[in-house]
Amino acid sequence: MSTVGQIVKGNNASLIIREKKGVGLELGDLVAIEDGARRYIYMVSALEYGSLVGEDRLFTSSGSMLEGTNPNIEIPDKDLRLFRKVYINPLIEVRVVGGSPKAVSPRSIPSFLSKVRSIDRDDFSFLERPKNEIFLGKLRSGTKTLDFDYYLNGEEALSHHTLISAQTGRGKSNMVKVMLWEAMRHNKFGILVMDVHNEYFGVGGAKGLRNHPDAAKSLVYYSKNQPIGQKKLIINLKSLKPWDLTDVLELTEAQVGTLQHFYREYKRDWVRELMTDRPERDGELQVKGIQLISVQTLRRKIGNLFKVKLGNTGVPPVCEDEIFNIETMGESTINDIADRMEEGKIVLIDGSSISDETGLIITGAVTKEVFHRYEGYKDQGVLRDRPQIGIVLEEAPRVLGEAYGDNIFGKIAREGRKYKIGLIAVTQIVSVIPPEILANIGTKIIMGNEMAQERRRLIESASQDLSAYEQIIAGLDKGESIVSSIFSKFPVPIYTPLFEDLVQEETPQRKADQVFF
Amino acid sequence: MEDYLDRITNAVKENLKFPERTAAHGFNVSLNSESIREINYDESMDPEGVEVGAISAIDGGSTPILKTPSQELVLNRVYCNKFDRMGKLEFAERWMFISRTKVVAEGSKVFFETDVFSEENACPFGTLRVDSEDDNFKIGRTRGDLERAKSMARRFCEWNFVSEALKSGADFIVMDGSLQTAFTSESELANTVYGEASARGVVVAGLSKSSTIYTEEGYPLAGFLDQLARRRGLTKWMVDVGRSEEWAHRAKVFFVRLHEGADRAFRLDVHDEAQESSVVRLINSLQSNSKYFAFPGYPYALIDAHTYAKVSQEEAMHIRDLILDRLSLEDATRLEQVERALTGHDVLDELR
Repeated sequence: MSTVGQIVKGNNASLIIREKKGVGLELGDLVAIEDGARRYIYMVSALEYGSLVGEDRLFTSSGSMLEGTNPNIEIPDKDLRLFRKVYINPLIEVRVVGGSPKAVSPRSIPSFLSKVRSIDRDDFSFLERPKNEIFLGKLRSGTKTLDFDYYLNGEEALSHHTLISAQTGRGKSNMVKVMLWEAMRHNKFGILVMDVHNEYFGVGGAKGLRNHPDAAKSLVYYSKNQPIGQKKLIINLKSLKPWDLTDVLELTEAQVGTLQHFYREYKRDWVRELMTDRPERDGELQVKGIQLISVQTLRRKIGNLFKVKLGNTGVPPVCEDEIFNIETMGESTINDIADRMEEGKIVLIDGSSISDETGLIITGAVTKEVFHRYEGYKDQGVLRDRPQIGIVLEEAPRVLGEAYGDNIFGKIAREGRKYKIGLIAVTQIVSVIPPEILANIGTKIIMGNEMAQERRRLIESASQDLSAYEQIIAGLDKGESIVSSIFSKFPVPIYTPLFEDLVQEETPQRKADQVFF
Repeated sequence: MEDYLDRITNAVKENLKFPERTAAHGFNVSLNSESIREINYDESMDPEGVEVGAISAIDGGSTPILKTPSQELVLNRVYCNKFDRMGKLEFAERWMFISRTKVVAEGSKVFFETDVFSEENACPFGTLRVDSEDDNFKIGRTRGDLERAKSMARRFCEWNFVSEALKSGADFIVMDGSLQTAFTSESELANTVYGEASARGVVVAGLSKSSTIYTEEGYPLAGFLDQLARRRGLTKWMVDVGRSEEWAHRAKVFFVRLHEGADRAFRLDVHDEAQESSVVRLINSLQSNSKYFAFPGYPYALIDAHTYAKVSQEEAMHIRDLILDRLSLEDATRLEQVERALTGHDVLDELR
């Protein structure tokens, strides 16, 4: 642990240190300050040149060096007049209470002119291993990874929702895979994933969740082309309700009314009847205020969503895609998925051959089923014994935006915690998620994002003061993130390893140090 | 108005007319353009550093702690280092002490007495006493004053401090300022120091940031020499000005321009027993040590010494507070009242 600088200025919000020559601190680096029985951990938030030489003289000297008019001059290595000012922001204060370290939010500042040193893994010895831990990555100081594993408490992270935010290519999918892999160890988290790129299971020789040692008991995979031992994905349209569609699609009032009418009239056969052209029924519909144009529009939309070919009085409608069925197959799939989740399993649905909207409709339908069941468990007083549920929502703003405020996902965002159901919302656009929903998300995993508007929204909604982090967030590299959580006393910088590397090195005895909040 | 300014301008110009040949006033060497010698130590031709030696630079700093018309307390620090060319070596010594200079009236005579107080027994010597009418102390026909007397302590300490600098094993000890001695017994102290240094083969020198030496005609010597060098197209040069016939001073005086990018030459005093070869080696060493980007031509060892010797206002005020805390309220009030006799100008300045 080497000295990297000394405090020369500052206040409770930030300190300025003079950097020791040659140290080369970087944005995001963590540093520690010992002050008697207290230890402070700070993070580098800004870098600036310092000089005790007059500006005119500096310009003259640099000019003579630059232009070669006076090459025979030197800047000594240990010159005291030129230095770097490093701004550091407080992360955590560690006090020794009753012989053991206790971390508190910073409430004091170190003694003036205290020496500042580099961080060490032992500086985090105050952290303990959480229950139901989910490994997220290793603690990170700037671009340097510390040999210290960081865990979330899985139950807390899921019940209070988790947001994974990053620009494309910064490691969102990798983060989700790592989290799911870790969740599979416990067999007590029922998590639903609509895998639109079919990248999580591990197909075609790629490593995936199927490689998990506990995959047999913790993972269920639904796919049109299911491997041996996995489930065939067939969704019977009878198991969908009109509101499964209205939660996800933008429909006019007349179209919503039309859907409701068909559901009232035909119950579980509402899709089949809507998709059957019966001219003899048109008059009756019009009498009941149903516009034929609405019917036709809905037929086109539903036809596209579920690949349903329109039928008529003599020929029933048929699903052209084997994933959907309008007869008898797949009637129990939604329930089956809900059952598996209740068993604490990770359920992957291969959504690669269906549209995003269709995937969200299915996700919504399953979520509603689980929510309905859990409402019952709560009423019966047995909810505590049920597994924690998580719903992974890729491109979350599509269903969490203002326009869908009342759908099942918005409802879970607001009330899910009471029912042990949480969201893992994955997105690169946070700004369209209503502040009320963002405020309800307890853990935010903030990855690299170059869009200033998105960064600001994340900073505003974070559990800690991240006002000094804007440039740092912009510069986060692939796999690097800052975890801001209501369960953490400070924003935690981590590096998440590549999922493939994690699978490669996976052994039951991985016992690195642990961290939780 | 214009006539008035013209006359002033002409008067200024009169002082800038340099002769072709002259000597420094009171010095024994005649100076003309041939007196200027080019110096051109090239470090790349001397990678082993055979033609240079290590330099130990000494500088002192002081800041008043409290000041009345009849006594002054000053916080002093002297510091020395060691350099090999531009590289600072692992050696540094410092003394820190408080000097108290007071007026002592004995009948019609006025003396100044200085005592030194130090936690570390730094700069150990007894009471320094100087007669205000001592010829070496007087300025013209006017008796010396407290302001002049208070610098005695630091100057004496700097001389004493040469013994510390000798521990560095440096080949040259370069003091900040000239080697001129101003006080009674300072010459004796300087001689002791020279003897000690010579015994170890070390040359003592002093480099002055400013010089008031003028030519026999009353023109500024530094400007005269600079003009001669320019005429010859020299960018790095030295000139031997000789010895003063008036000063109690055991040094030869040179002017040196140590870097091609320097904007001035400096006065360099070298102990007069130094061999010519030692002087050349000293000037080589100073050239190789005068490449600091922000002040080319001035030895970096002296810049470093200045940095560490400097006494900040805050340091002095801290000591002042400690002293005031130990005074009774009555004494502290009285002290502040007495100090006001010297601070009227400060009040005026604050009025802007």
